[in-house]
Amino acid sequence: MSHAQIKLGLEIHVQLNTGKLFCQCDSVRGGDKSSSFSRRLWAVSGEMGLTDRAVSYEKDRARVFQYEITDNSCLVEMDEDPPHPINKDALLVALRVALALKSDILDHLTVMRKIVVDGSNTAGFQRTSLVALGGHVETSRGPVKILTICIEEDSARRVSEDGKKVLYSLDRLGIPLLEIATGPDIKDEAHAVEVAREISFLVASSGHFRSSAEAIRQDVNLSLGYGRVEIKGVSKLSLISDGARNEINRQLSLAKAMEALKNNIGTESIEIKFVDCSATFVGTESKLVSKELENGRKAFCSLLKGMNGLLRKGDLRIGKEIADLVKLFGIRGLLHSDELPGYGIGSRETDSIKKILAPAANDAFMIVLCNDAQVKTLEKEIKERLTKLLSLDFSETRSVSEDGTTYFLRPLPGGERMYPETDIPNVDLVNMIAEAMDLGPIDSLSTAAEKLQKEYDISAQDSSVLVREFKVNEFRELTAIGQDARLSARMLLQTIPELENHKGKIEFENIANIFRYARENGLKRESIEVMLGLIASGQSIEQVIKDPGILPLSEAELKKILSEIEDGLKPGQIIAKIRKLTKRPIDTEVLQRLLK
Amino acid sequence: MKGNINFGDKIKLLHKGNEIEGTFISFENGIITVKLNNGYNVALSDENTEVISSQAAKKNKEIRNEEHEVTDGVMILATGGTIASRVDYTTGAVKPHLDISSLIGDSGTGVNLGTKVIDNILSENVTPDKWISMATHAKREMDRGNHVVILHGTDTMTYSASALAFMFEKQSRSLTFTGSQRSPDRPSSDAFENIASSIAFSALNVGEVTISMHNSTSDFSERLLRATRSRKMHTTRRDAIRDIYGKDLARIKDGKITAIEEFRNTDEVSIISTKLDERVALVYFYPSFEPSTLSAIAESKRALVIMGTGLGHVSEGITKEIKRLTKDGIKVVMTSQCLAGNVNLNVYSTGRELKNAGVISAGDILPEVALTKTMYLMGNYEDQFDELMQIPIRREINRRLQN
Repeated sequence: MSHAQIKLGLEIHVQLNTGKLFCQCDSVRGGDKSSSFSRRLWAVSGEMGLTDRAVSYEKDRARVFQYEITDNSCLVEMDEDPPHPINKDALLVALRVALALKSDILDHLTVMRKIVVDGSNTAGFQRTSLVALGGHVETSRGPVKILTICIEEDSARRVSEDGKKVLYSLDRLGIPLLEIATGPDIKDEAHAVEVAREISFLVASSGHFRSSAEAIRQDVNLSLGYGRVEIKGVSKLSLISDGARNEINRQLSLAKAMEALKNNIGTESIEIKFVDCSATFVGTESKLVSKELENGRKAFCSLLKGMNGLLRKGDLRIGKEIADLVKLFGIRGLLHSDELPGYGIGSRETDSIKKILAPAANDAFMIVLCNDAQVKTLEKEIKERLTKLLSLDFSETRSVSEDGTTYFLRPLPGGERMYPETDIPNVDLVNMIAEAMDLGPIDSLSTAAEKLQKEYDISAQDSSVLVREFKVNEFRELTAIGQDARLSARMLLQTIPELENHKGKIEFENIANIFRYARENGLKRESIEVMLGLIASGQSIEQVIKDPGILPLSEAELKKILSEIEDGLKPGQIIAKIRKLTKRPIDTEVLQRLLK
Repeated sequence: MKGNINFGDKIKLLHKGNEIEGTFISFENGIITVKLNNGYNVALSDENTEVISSQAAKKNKEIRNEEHEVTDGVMILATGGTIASRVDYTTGAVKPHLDISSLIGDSGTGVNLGTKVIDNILSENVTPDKWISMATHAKREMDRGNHVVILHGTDTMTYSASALAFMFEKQSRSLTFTGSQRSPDRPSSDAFENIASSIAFSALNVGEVTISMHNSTSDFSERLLRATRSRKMHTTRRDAIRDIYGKDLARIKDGKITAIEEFRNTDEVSIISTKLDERVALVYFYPSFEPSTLSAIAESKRALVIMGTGLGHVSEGITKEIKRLTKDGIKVVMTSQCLAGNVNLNVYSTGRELKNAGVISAGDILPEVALTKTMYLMGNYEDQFDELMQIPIRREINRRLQN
C-alpha cells in the first residue's frame, strides 16, 4: 500500500552474544530458574523535575511484578547491585556497525536511565546510551537515513500476566541490544522489511549476533499526519508489513469515526460519568456479566454522547479503542450499545440502562465491569484518550498481535523519562574507534553474498538467500563435511524448509550427521532426501541409518522393475511408474544408463 | 565554550559538522553535556563544538521543604543519607532531597504526620554530636506526643540507632530509624515503603530504639529490628540491615503487622542523657598488628573496644601492650570479629592473660554497639563502667544463647 502522506521509520533491536551489558552473566545460555521475588515501582520525576505522561499512566495501574531468578542472572539484574562497567566487546560491535553505516561516533558514551515502569526492568529504568548519530543504509530503492545508533540493555522477559500481577524472567534482562533507528523515509511496508533485513544482517555479520527467536525485534514508527504511532516489539519480519498495513487502515477508519463524532457533538467536550447499574443485572442471562458480578465486581454504565453507530459498525470501531484501554487495567468486561442486545443481554437490561442514562438518538452507552476503586481512574483515562483521539492526535505506543492487528499499549513517552545513570562514568569513544577498525569492516548483505558466491561457485540467487536467511554458517559446515556446495545450498534452501513445513523440525545436528553418513557410505542426493524425510517424521538418526529404505535400488533391482514396465514411455513417466512400486531412492545416473 | 549559558537553557550547537539541538546540562573538564530532545544526554568535546545560539530557560519553581509541626502523631526527622537525597544532574553528585513530604506519598493515611529536616549529611559523616542533636529533637517530639521516625543513611545507621538507644533511658513514644538502599529518584526505590512501614510500626508502642527496613529483596514486607542487635551485613541489598541472630521484633506484610520477639513497652515519660565521651576507639586486630600501632591509636583515648579473633583473642605482643594501657587507667573492652556468639576469656591461656590485664569481656555484644555503649557509660557512669559493660542495659547482650 502506498499512501501519499505516510511516514514510515524503523527502530531495529538486535541482541548480542557478548555477555550481558552491565554484569558478567552469560547472554547466550542459561535460563533455569531457582526462586523468585516481587516488587512494585513508583512514578518518579526526570532530571528536569517533571513526570513523564507514560510514567504516570503506568502508575495508575498499580501492578505487582514478580521476577524469576535464573542461573544467568545476578544481583545486578535483581537491582540489588549497581551496574558494573559497560561490556567492551558489545561496545566494539556497536562501533563497527556505526562505521559500516557511516554514522558519526560520539566523543563520549553517556549512559542514561530511560524510565519504564511496566515492570520489564527491575530498576524501573532501562539503561541506554547513544553511540552514533546520522549515517545511511543502502537499499534497492535508494539510501535510507540512519538517525541514531544506541546500545542498551534488553528488558526482562514477560512470562505471564494475571490481572494486577505480572511474572517476568530475569534471563533476558541485561542482554546487550543494538538499537538502530532510521529516518521516516522508508517508502512502504515491503521497503521496511528490506531495511530491517539489511540492518539486522550488518549486526549479524559482526559475528556477535545472538541467535534466538527473539534476537531481532523491530519497532515501527508510523505517521499518516495524525501524530506518530510506535508499534513495539515486532519480532517477525512478516508482521512489519501486516502491522503497518493494519495500522494505516485503523487510522483511516478512526479519522472517519472521529470526524463523524465531531459532527454529532459540535464543540461539546467528551464527558464520562459512570453510574452503578449492578441492580439491572440481577438474574441476567449474560454469563460474562454474572461471572464478573459473582467475583465481587460491579456493573457501571456511562453515556457516550454522539457515538451511536460509531462504536462498532462496519470499519468504525471507537468501541475497540475504549476496550483496549480498559483491558490494560485488568478489566475484561466492556460492553457497548452498538453490540447490544447481545452477549446474553436483552432489551430488559438495555431499556433499564436507557432509563438511567436517558440517551438521545445519536448517543451511545457502555457498561464496564470493575471495582469501585477503579471507576475514577477509568473515567479519567477514557475521557483523556477519547478527547485526544477527537483532536485527531493518534500518537501513542501500540503493540501488534500474531494476526497482525495492533492494539493500544500506553501513551507515547517524551524526553522527560530520561536521566543520567550516575553509577557509570562516561566512556571515551575516540580511543576505541581505532580498536574497532582493527577488527575489520562489516560486510553489507550484497557484499557478503558476492563473496560467498565466488568462494563456493554457487548461483547468485542461492548465495543471496543463504546470506539473507542467516544460513551461511550452516552452509559452510555442510560443505566442509565434503558434500557438493550446490547440493548443500539446495538442501538448506529447498528440501529442508519444505520437509519442515510438511512434517516437522529437523535439528541442524541431525542434518550434519546425515551428510556425514552419506559421505562415508557413498550415498547420493536421493538417499539424503529420504533420510531427511525420515528425521522430519520424528525418527532418530540411529533408526534412520538402519532403515533399508534409504539405500538406492541396485542395478539388478532396477533392471527387474524396468522389465515389468511397458515400452515406449518417456523417462519422466518411467520414474513415476517406479515410484508407484517402491519408495526407495533411484540413482538417476544408473537409470539413465539402463534406458539407453 | 563561550557565552553565559545555564542549566536548562535551550541550545543549538555545531559539532563536527552536525547541528545538535537540546537543553544545556553542564560544561566541565572541556566536556559539554547536552540533553537532546529525545532525552538522551550527549557529552561533546569542547574543541569540536561551536555554540550557534542559546535561549535562556524559564525559571523553574524552586522546591522548598516545608516543615510540618504535629502533636500526637508521627514526626519524621530527616538527617540525610540516600533516603533523603536525590541526584544533582548538573554535577552528578548526590544532594539533599528538598521536599521530604514527597517521599511520604500515601503512607500513613489516617495518621497525623509531621516532617522536619534536622540535618543533611551522608551517614559516613555522622559524629556523636549529631547523635546528641537527633536525641534532643526526638525527645522534644515525644514530649509532644509524637512517635518518631528518623531518616538516616544506612552505612552508619546501627551506630546512630544504638547510640540513641543508650541515650534514651526511658521513652514515652517509639523511635524508629529507616533508610533506603536505592535512592528515591529511582522507580524501584525502597524508600517509600520503608517510610510507610516505619510509620505503621509505631502502632506497636515499642519503648526501644528500633530500625525498620526491607525484610528480603522483595517489596511488600519490612521488619522491625532492635537497634542494639543489628548490623549492616551487605553493601547493596535492600535487606542489608539485620539482627545478627535473625530475631526480628515484628514484621509487616501487605500492611498487616505481626509481633514476633518480646520487646519493652513505652514508658510514661522520656528521659535522655546527652553526655557521650568521644575518646573511645574501635580497633580491629589482625595477624601482624603491631603493639606500636595500638599505642598510637590509644593516644588521648580513655577507652578501647577491640575486635579480637574467635573467643576474643589477640597476639602476645598486643596482650603486653594492653597490660600497659590498662595500668594507665584506659578501659579495654573485648568483642569478637565473629559477631555471633559470646566472648570468653577463660578457655585459652591468651584469654586468661587478657583477663588478668583487666580486659572486660562483654558477652555477645556487637563491636559497634560496644563502641556506642562505651561512649555512653564513660560519659555518664564511669565509676560503674566495668559492671554495667558486662550486663545488658538495652538488651544489647543476650545472657542466654539459644539455638
